[in-house]
Amino acid sequence: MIEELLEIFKNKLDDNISKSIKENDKKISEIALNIEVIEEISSHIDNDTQIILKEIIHDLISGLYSGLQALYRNAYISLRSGIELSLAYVYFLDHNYEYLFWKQDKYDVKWAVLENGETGVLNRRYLSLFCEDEFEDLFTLCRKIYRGCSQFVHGKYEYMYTVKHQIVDYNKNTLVEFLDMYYDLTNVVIALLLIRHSNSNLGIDETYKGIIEKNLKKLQLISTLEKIKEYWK
Amino acid sequence: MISFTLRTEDLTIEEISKYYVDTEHDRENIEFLKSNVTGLLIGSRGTGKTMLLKVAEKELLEKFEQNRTLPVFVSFSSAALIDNEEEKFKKWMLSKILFALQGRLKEVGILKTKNIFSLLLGKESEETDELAIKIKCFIERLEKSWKKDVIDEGTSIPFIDDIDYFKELLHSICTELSIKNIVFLFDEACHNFLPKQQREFFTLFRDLRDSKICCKAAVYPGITSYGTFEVFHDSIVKRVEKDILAEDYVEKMRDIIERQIDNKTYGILIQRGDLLDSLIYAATGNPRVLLKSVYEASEKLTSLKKVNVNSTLKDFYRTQIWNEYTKLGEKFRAYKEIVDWGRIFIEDKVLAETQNKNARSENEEDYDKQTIYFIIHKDAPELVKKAISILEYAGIVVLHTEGYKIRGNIYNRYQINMGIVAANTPVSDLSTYINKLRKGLSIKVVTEYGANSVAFKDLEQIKNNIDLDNGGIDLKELLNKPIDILDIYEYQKAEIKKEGFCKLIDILNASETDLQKAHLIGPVRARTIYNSSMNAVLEYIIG
Repeated sequence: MIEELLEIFKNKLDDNISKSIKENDKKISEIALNIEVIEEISSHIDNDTQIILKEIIHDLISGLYSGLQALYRNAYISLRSGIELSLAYVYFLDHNYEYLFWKQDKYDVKWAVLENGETGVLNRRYLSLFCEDEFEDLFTLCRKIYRGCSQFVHGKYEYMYTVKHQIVDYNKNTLVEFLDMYYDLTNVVIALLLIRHSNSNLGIDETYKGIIEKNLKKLQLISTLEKIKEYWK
Repeated sequence: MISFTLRTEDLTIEEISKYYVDTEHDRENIEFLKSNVTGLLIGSRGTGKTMLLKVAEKELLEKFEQNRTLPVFVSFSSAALIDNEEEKFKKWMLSKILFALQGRLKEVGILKTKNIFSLLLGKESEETDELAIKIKCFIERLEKSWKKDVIDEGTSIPFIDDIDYFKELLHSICTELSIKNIVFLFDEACHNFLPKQQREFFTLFRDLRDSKICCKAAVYPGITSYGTFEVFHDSIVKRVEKDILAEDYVEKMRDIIERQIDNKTYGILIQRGDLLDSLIYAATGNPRVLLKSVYEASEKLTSLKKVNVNSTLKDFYRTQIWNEYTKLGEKFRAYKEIVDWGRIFIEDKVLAETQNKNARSENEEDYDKQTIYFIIHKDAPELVKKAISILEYAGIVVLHTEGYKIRGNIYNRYQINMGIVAANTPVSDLSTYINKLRKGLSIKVVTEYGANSVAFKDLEQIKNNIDLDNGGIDLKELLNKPIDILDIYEYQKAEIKKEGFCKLIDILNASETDLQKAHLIGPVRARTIYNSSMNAVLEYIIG
């Protein structure tokens, strides 16, 4: 009985993936390119916390997979983990003490700490140590993504998918909304990595320079872009 | 605080749509950039070349699904340290173009494989991965090759070794991905290149042309070396400068300002529309100069008063622009004296005469007409042409009409920046003066400089002072090249050889009078031969 149900469920999910890809090809390509950019940047970073970057990429891919299968709540859970870990990566780079405890599972990453405007990562004074931008758009977007994902993660009634649709079925609007947030998240990850590592030449592949420029401009990170471009000269 | 964005490079694609003002001339240029013909977009700094390229790119991308013409923006930003031994520079350019194309294909979402080589070599394999890595490493190695301890041991990669192979790859990509053609857009194509590299670039630019590949490059006037690329035969050339005599000139320039600021701020500026218009005319069609001067004159966009407009006009066009120009002498050191001569020529000769014409009394001919134009004979000394082209690069003069015929002689007509013309007068109310200048402007009133004008007499001395050694080994080699490389008639070569002018250096060490000793070489031919030699050498010094 359960085998049969799972088989039906699997077929349904496969069907959802086909529909999702067919109808959202353009957006998925944009996202795939951004993931490639993140992989490209990560491949040039060599530090102890790099393992977190791998986990972020894993979250992104599993989130995308869930989203395409129409498992939207699971997808948002992965996305929330992605934004948390992205900020945690930057935080741990400059908080080695906490990082050592975190590795031993003796320190919990809290969003309130990461987003703190005085001592966390979403802190203009801190990021200005690396680049001289305003970061307003970046901070707003980070908070918007986290808040958006949390609504699903906490299973708020209005955000429960089955309440609206009763079944696990592909829904164009829900997926578009998810992919937009997903795309924003990938932009945030790219921006955070480039800001924090703007003092090193990351040896970015020519293929990705155009898209990096577009993403940074979108977040009004002009000084960051200028700084990075210096390495391209 | 409200401010203007002065460079298109700083704008997002959405902002470009918001800020772009469509004029008839700009629209023509955009359609040209989108077309499948090889061409150059020429304009001095701040005239809007990047804006046009970006708008063309955006429009092509928006229609890509229907038209299948793919725009690819290519930027060469790290070229200066790469030499061209074993055609490494050419390979480096081809590699950069390939990666830019790969990025664009991924961006539009039609490249489903990991890299573009899979399209030619078949399915994704380790082989194509290796190829991509090999080319990437090649670029990195070359860019680091100036460091003494990094030596490039030579890399053989078919797609970048052979241009036909490269084109074949591009054709395969077009076929596989149903792309009709690819338009490569090179912004400030040669800005970072040495003259020798510029020539390499334009050779490649020409060689890339085919049914599916088309190249467009935005270049500065005057300072670009084209080598064997013949600008007017191998491409279509378009100028960017906006025409100050166009009926909608003021309206469109006002629109450029309006799009960048809120209604309230714009309201402040148009309260004194006459003052704003004087700044618009002074900018002579250069949007960046306009935005900068409006910002200064309006005390950071807070008010627009006559006294501030007049002092800005004076400071901007009498001091700042000329200071920027003089700095070019430091940038192009070998040409410092020509840069300085250009300034003296404009300030002491051209502007003085222009002012005389504009201040005619009622009993003189054309007393009601004003001018900002001068003409130079097409056979003027090469150094004069070079000096004018540097002035063009700086936006001080603009080529208005090429091949303008007067009394059987051919001239080029140039337009001087209107702000500079005004700032050179003793008038204190410059804004009123500029509006009067524009009202009476006639392109028929010109100051004329013939092929042997006395205004050029200082050039002989300058010629002797040019630092010919500044170009390094290549230049020495060039100077010792036989005169056979010159674009003159064979009989002329034979005749001047008889007089001992066998190498370029022999000609350049001589005078035009010395050349006339040769049989059948009169003053006109001597000038042609001398100009041809000088031009060959100058290209190596500055481009």
